[in-house]
Amino acid sequence: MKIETTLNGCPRNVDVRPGETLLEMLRRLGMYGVKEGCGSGDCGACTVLLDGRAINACLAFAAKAHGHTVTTIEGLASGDALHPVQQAFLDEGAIQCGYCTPGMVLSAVDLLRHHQQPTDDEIRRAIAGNLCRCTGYAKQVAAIRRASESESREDA
Amino acid sequence: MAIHHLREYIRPKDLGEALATLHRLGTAARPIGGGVDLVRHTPPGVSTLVDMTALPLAYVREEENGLHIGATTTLGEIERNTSLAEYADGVLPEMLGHVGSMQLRNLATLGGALVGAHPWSDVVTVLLALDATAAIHDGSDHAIRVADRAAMREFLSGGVLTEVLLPTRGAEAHAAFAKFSLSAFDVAMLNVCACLRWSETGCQDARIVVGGTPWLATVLPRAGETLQGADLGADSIAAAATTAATEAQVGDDRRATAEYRRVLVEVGVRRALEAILGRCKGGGT
Amino acid sequence: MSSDKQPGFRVVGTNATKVDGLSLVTGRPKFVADIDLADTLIVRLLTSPHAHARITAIDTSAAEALPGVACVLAHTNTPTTRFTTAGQGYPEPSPYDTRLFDSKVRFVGDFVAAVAAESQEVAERAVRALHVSYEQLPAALSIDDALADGAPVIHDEPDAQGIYDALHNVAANVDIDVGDAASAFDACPVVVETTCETPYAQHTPIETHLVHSALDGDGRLVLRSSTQVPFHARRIVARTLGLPLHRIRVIKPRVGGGFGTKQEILLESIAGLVTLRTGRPALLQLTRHEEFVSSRTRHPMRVRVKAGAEKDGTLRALEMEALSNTGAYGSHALTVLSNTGSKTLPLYNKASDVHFYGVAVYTNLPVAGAYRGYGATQGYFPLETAMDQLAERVGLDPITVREKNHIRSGESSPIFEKLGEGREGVAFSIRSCELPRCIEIGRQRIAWDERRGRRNREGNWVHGLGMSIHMQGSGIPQIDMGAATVRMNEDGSCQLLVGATDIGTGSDTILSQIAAEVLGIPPSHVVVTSSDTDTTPFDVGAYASSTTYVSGMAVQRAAEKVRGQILDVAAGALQVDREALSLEDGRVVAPDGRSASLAELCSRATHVVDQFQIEATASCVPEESPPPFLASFAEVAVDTETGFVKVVKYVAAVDCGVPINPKMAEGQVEGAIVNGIGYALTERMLFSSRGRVRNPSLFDYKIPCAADVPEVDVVLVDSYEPTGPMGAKSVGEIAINAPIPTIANAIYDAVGVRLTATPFTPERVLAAMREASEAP
Repeated sequence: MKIETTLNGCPRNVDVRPGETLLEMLRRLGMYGVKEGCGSGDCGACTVLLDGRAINACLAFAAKAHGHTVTTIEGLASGDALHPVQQAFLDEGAIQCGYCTPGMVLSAVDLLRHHQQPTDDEIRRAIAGNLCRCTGYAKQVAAIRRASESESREDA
Repeated sequence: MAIHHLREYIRPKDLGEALATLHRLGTAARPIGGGVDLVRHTPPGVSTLVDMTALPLAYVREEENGLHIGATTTLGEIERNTSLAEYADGVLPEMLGHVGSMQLRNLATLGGALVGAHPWSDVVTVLLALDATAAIHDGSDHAIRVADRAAMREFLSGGVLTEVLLPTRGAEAHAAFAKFSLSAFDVAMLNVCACLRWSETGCQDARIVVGGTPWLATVLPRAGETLQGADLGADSIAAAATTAATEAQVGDDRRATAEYRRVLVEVGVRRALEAILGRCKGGGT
Repeated sequence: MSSDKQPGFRVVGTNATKVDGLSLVTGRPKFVADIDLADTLIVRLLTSPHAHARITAIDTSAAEALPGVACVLAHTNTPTTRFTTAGQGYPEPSPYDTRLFDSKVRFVGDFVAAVAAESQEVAERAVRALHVSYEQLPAALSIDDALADGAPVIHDEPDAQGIYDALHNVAANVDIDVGDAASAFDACPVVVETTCETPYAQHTPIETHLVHSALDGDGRLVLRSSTQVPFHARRIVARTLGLPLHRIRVIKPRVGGGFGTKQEILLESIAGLVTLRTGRPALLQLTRHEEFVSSRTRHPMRVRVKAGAEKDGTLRALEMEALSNTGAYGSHALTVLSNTGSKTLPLYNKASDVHFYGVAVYTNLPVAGAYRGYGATQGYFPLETAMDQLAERVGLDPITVREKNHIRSGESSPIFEKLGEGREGVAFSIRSCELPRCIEIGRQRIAWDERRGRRNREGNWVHGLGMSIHMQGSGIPQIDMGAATVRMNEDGSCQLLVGATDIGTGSDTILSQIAAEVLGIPPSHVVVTSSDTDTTPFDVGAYASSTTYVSGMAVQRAAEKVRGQILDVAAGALQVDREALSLEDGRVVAPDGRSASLAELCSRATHVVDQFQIEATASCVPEESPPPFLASFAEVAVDTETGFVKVVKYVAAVDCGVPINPKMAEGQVEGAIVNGIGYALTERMLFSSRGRVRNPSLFDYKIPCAADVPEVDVVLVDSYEPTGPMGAKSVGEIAINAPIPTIANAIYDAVGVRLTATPFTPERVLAAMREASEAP
């Protein structure tokens, strides 16, 4: 079946199977930054933004993207300029293996778009759905805090 | 991951088309909200999905008879809604902070949670405590109390959930939710919701509900009755909690033993009522 | 939080940006599965439904007949070579007890067959179309079952090698003595004893095991694998498939976490065989379910520690008995068992008489393998519990007992020599030990003196403090080897080729920092290529906390040789004696102030006169394994009504020598601590009565999320290891060993109960509290 969706700012017509997940569709379209960690919505590695809100792409049927916008990690930077959350992750040393990173970054982007200056508690609850086995979350929380303090969050 | 036996994904133009498809295909078709449960497991006989989010069923409206929440309103939208933050001490948003992850809440819908009715469901526990009513449309409109499980099952087999109604409650209405789980992003070993009216004449219409016992939420009427007409204080709370602990049916599963759940019932009911006490007397928590 | 840059270093000791950071944070396709799979066969596995059974018949015809099925592999049509899946140095100290596909299955989840097809859908349908008949055998589902008289023999195959006592299901055995512990105990006025148990746990890397295999244009087999051990993979695949080693290339791209479970040659031979049989590329990835059940786990253990001491708390004797469950195959059985003692007991070298013994037992359960900590995690639980018990018995602060007895700089332990990895160890002395400073810092930051023993209450929560101390190692002396090649480009930048395996740990980055330091260039001028068996020199891989210490030293040596060559070129160019020249900040400077840039010199050597490639390769085999040290402190809160345990504050003070990249070293500690907290509080695999895993999903097996853990306060104390590259020691594993004993000791401080089995679930804690309050 055909769906019309806007992917990272570009209108796309995509052929999807009814039983296909958004995760499969996105990787099929070359969005390899959307990762599979469990396929059951428990790890958050496949987090993408649907109309600006973080969801697990493995839990959404691909057809759900019809008439909506989808943002993946590939659509976050503007040209060479990283999103403040991405820059903060780099600067804080919040990336180890990097597998959870795209999903974690997008959850943080959702949080910061809708929350001014979240507390550490709010940050931790916002990324509770993004499991990481490498970092212990310490530097990721620090990075998100740092990004929330940066002034360019208004443009996020 | 892809469900290979799904053949059709329909976005109905209106409720009539949705119903017609469901009637035509019977159990081979399923209505979905976020579709989360169906992605995780699509029964072998299901070939068609009817995406109810294509219909204008995502809303929260205050009307004379209460708060109407459309069936495809996401849990995240409910969590953020300001009217619901005021309703019964904001117990719905309070509970939703403990449900799944932010990502799950942005996709899963109230209708999906109610119809899916996982035994650990925190949503059902709270809806039961609030004595919510489900609006089910099968050609005609029916209002079925969520507590009436048999009727819910019967009408849902031939119709679709369109909205959930929370009865009007004034400033005397208070509620609180408690959940015990091994980790922050986890289903409940036990969940509790208490809802009551409190005034100078004491407590009225207390509903005490436990869920994840490991079974789906049930009301504990005897525990609620201990509060009827009573002032809310340490003694009445203790009595309600103790009654709840003996009244609740609990069992063993991977998450906890029955014996431990019985402890949690007492503690959970007591803490929920203590939170209500704080809200009544201090306007806090 | 982290120590200042070591004086005198320009690049080492700075938080250089990770070389792969930008590509990871923008989601560039860097992992094995991030490729167009258009032409690739998808491989799916059939695994055993039974814990112990012989395959009496297998009919693949229906599966093979399905359109789109390219290849079906089972025991009937695959090599029968026995090998170990353990990625260890050759000859591997693990039994060769595994076949690609065996005619016998030994646990629920054991590999039975593989199907390669055009799509996942077809492959799954074909797997379901396989008909397998089993003759079920009695199963041994616990250590006790497996050791009992009349227990079923799990490895009765005649061609297995290296099993200690197959008839009795003993995969490995260890027994070492220092002095005479039995007599020493008799003479001790104070003796404490405790037995602790840790269950099956899984690493849950967010990226599961996977491999992509293909033939290159020359018909060589190219394996792109999510592995910690590319060179061991090449060797073991060659042997298993009967291919010459030089016809195989193993490449490790970015890896989404390993923690030990990918120190295993698990899938490469299967995918490789599919490619060889079909000529097509193939992708084999484990589902999350398969990752839990059919990959690798931690060794569940029951470990008893007995400690004998004088009345003033000075240790005289230590005994440790370890019973390890290695599951259905013996991968890492001996070495994990050995490490249970070798990375723990030397910490308390004041105990002059030591006895360490134990066995690793086969069971019909999932296969245990390497997992960060590698036995020490299981050993520190009873050891650090016993130290606290000793402290209580003699009326001393737990910290004081540690201070009286822990190993110090300049000291040694006979255990270093007696207990190696599958062979005799190597004697050496400690050259750097800042443990006293670690303890001091941790003590202050957790407010030990102010808050311990107070049982401060906050509503239903009672607070308690606990601590523990730890050592680990840096590589395996005389066994591990890592090598590096440094090659100058004509613009003064360099290529750094290392076999060392970055699995998210940041080794590419820290190794580039070492090279940059020696050559006087910015780290961004070091181009790292790693873990490609065709192009990079040998390295054992990412395990045993070896990368910084061993591979780092190889890089330092190679860079120093290249530095010498650059100075030779400069001597010619500047007409100055080489000894008078200095290299700094990208320039070689003569005493009279004339200088030449690296770019000029490299261009000269490449193009102009006496041309040669400025390049050197160096290797490192360590002679010692200088331990990092860690002092761990935590404040917990226990809900006295429900038994829930919260870690409120955690402090870890670490001596890892000079941290090459402080933020990365902290990151290793932070991540290991949180993993350890999960193992302490929530993680365990559950089994049915028939040996099936009941919770093989992240839904049911709970690892910590960000909302579960506090911020971990990590302090890297100033230290310098003279044998380490730039003064560094390794730090990858040590911290995971701390949370279990630290939290157990903190719970005791809070509510007076000693828990001796993890996880410390609320239900267990509550039951222990109730039992304690009912005790007479």
